Order: sequence, then structure tokens, then C-alpha cells
Amino acid sequence: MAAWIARAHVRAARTDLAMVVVFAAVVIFTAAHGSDFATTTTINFGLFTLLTASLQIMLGFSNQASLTQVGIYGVGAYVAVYVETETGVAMPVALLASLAAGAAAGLLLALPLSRLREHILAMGTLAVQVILSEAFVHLTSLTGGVNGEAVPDALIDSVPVMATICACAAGVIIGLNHFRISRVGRRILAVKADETMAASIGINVRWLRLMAVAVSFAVAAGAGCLFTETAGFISPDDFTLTSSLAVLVAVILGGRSVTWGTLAGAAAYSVLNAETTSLPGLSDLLLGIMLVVVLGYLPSGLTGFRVPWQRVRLPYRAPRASGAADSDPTPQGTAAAAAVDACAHKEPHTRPRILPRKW
Amino acid sequence: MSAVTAVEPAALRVAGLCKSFGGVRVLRDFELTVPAQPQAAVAILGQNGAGKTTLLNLITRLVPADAGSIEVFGHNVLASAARHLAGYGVARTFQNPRLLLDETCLSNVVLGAQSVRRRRDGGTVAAMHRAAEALERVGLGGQTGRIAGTLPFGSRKLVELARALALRPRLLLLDEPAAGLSDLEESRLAEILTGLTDAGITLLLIEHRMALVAATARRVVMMDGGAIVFDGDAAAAIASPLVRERYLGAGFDQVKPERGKLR
Repeated sequence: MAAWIARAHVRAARTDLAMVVVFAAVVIFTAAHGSDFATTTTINFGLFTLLTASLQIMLGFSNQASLTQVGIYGVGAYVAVYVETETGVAMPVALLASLAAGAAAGLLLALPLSRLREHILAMGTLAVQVILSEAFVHLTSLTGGVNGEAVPDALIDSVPVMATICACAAGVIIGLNHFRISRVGRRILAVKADETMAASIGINVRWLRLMAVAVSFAVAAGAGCLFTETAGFISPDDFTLTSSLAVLVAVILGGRSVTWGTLAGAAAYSVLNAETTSLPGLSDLLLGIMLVVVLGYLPSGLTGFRVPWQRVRLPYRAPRASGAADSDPTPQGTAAAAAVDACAHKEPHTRPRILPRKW
Repeated sequence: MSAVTAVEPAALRVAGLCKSFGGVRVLRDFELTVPAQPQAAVAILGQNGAGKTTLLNLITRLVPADAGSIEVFGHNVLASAARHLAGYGVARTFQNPRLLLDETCLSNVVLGAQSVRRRRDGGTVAAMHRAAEALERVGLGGQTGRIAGTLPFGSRKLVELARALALRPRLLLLDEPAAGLSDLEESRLAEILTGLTDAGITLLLIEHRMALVAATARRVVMMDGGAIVFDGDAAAAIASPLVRERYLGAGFDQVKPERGKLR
């Protein structure tokens, strides 16, 4: 019975496997390479993937643009450092604290922000990011101000931390891949497509949007906690509006797909950043140029061409009327099944989409 | 059986409903009661701007009401949110179908089938069966795997109807189901709608095609200036001088009102 649903997840599992292979290959290559530069680059890539994935939860699933992801990442980082220095607990406990703080911040902010839509919501979240940046500088008793905070027992540029971060990034992407197929995932995609329609078929639009923000912020804050483990030192300079913009650009660059799009956007940004470390600001410039090019010529992003076969498909076969094992009493038996099968193999529209699509 | 407890709440009871958009009064003290028994189709006629769609949007809580009360099966609609309506047994379609055009017909209908959770409903597979059944009911049983965006307009409307049916409504609100349909599609739709009332669903449909109205609706209500000006059966509506003057036109003689058949 549940085989049909299982089949949808099995189909998605091919993407999971690809994700595991990609991240494992990156980690193994970096470990074999052994240089600090390679390790730092991979760590940044993993963290940035987490941030991109966190924004995908908001933008990709519920069409809520956010410019405050890195601010929340900072909240997660400061909470982790605070918890670790005050109570001396281990990193996993601090991670839980960060996740909780992120989710709480999401719920708190989503209540006023839930009335906003589209670019006005983006402006609202931009304001939140600015407030958070200022708070990091001025709440000196909690954050150490511009002098920053040292992280106790950090493992700077270590391979195990890199592997952990990459495993988390792969895990989050795999989670999103399967969430997309789930009941709630498809409902939130319906909210993204058309809120009026979603409400008319009994979907709780407000709640789903709220949960998207909470989960998104929790992931971002969790990434912040992981960041502290590898940074050794955090300061407000790590959590600026520019970085938040970069996350948004990476999502747009990557495209609509929550799996390959997230990966492609994060990879493009990380490579760009690593290659231009000697010239600060150049990566932002290049990112801007890439964004203009992508918006102009490839509006569904770097992975946009994958869209026709990235659709959520629920593999379904009508029950057989005479099947002894399958006792579903649907009257239209084999004829319907034959008709469904006949149609299932037609793939009417596989041409690539070139028109801009709504996010 | 005592007279007090036997009274079943009406499928729809609208009383004193008022709605203005800025200075334009769309509905003024609007009254309409649709009994739950017997299940039948009620058609709402009226010129453009008479407030028909606004009435539907008010009933489904897509726009807030200014004053008045709306009850469906005894539930106070104005104290509920749009998403509660499905749980009360109300579903609707839109004049222009609102579907997820990138997804298959089945995925679209499954959204409806999974929307309201009832006991002994089973999981997603059972919802998929219900969705396939709903598609079968509107004559799209062979199109489950088709991407909704590749269907012609008329079929998209039927997919939306199937999605509404998958909610297992007792009261179905249809906003111009025949608008944009070919004659053949329209006569198929008439058969489907007649089947729905026979299956015990009360229909409230806004419609301009008199052929469809005559074929499906047992009661016809005409709105003008935000209130009901005519209430009777389809034959009486076509014969009524008031309806002819304000809506149909004096030369109207195209349909023979015969339930279940067109032309």
C-alpha cells in the first residue's frame, strides 16, 4: 500500500545519494589536500550551504524573501558562545540552544512580519538585519561589542569539524528534498503558489508561513553555532548585511530547485569568495554581475534547466479491481488503470522554460 | 420525534449581509437561505457587478463582511477563518481555475483530498485514491499523470472541480463553472453537476449560461443592486418579465428548461 509513496521517496533518494557523494567527495578531497586554505574554503562552503538552505526554506517553499539570515546566524553564534562560556556545556548542547534561539527568533519576528509580502517583506527583514548588526556591536555585555568574543575549545580549521559541517549541510538538503514530497511540503508549496487557493481548500496559510520562518531561522542559527566551533573568535564583522545579501543572491543564482539549486548557489559563491580573498570586495562585484546575468538570461537560476524533471511527482497507479491483495473498492478497475498507465508515460512538456517564473 | 431537535440547520443561511468597497455598496441587507434537504442546485443570476462573486467570497471568508451573518450547516462563518470552511463541508471553485500548473492533476487534487483530516481516512495513498476517484467523477480519470498546465482551459476547470470534490463537501460553491467552456464541455458539465446533486451535494452556482442553469438548477435566484429581486424555479425565471427585462433580454427563447438535458 505505502509502496507508492515509498516510490516517490525512493526516486528522491537518488538525489540524496548524489548529495552524499558530492559532499563526501569534497570532504575527502579537502582532507587529502591537507592545506589550511582548502579546509577553510570547504568549511565556508558547508556553512554557506546551510545558510542558503535556510533561506530556501523561506523563499523556495513559501515565497518569503529574507535579508536577515546572517543576522540570525549571528544570534545562533552568540547564543552558542554565551551558553558554552557561562555553563561549560559541550558543543551539541550549545547547538540545541542555538536551534531553539533561532526558532524563537523566527516566531517572534514572523508575528509582525507575517502581514508583509514579497519585496516589502524583504525590506522588513532588512530592517531586522540592521537592528541585529547594531545589537551585536552595542550589547557589549553579551556580545563583547566590536572586540568580539573568543570561543572556548574551538577546533580551528580541523578536518572533523569540516566533516561535521558538511554532513549537516548534506543532511539539511536531503531533509528538504524529502520534505518537498511530504503532505506538509506540498501544502506549503500550494501556499507559495496561491495563498487564496490554499486557504480555500482548508490550508492554514498563516501557520505554514510562520513555521517556514521558524525552521529557516533555526537552521541559520544552528549554522551559526557550527561556525563558532571552527572560527575560534566571533565579532559583528562576521554577521553583516552584505553577507545576508550574498545568501539571497546565492539562492537566486542557484535557482528554484531546493537541492541542486542550493548546492550550486552556495558552491558558486564559495568558489568566488575563495578565489578573490586577495582583493576584498571583488567577490561582491562578481556576484552582482553574475546576478544580473542570471536574472537577465537564466531567470530560473543555474539549475533552472532541470525544472521539467524536478517536478514533484506522486507515482500513482489506480487499484486493480480483481486484485486479491488489494481490496480497495474503487469501481473503475483495470480500464482506469490501463488509461492511467497509458497517460503516465506521456511527458507532454519537457521543453526548457525560458519565461521568468514567480519565486 | 420532537419538533425542536429535528430541525436540521440550513446548508446556507445569509441574513442582513452588507458589503461595500469604498463608496460602492455591493450587498445591502442580503438574505438567502438554502435548505440542507433536499439537496439541489441553486443558481444565482445577475449582471456583472451585481455582487454574485462577492457573495461567494464573503461566504468563503476571502473578503471580510461589513455586517450581517452567514451560517453554513449551523456554523457561524463570520467567526471563522477561510481555512475552516472546508471542515464545515464547504468547497468552492474560482471563475479562473487556480491550480498548481507545474504539478500533475493528481497532485492538485490530492491537495484537496488531504486537506481535511477525518478519522479512518488513511494516509497519503488513501488520499490519492480519493483524488483519482474525484478526477474520475469529473471525467478526467485518464489524466491523473498529466501536468495541469498542459490541459485546456475547460479541463483545468474540471480539475479544480475535482479538487473541490476531494474535500468531500456538502455545499459546493461554483463561480461560473461554464464560463469559457465549449458547448460539448458545457453539456458534460451539466451531467456532472446533476450527478453531484443526486449524490447529495447542495450546489450554489453563479452562472450566465441559461442552458446550464435550466439543466441543473432547481431554484434560480436573481441578484440586482445587491439584493435578490427574483426567486423561483428555472422555468419561472425564464418566463418572468422582470428577469427578462433586467437580465435575459426580451428576445430570449433559447432553452427549453428540462432538467438533466441540454437542447
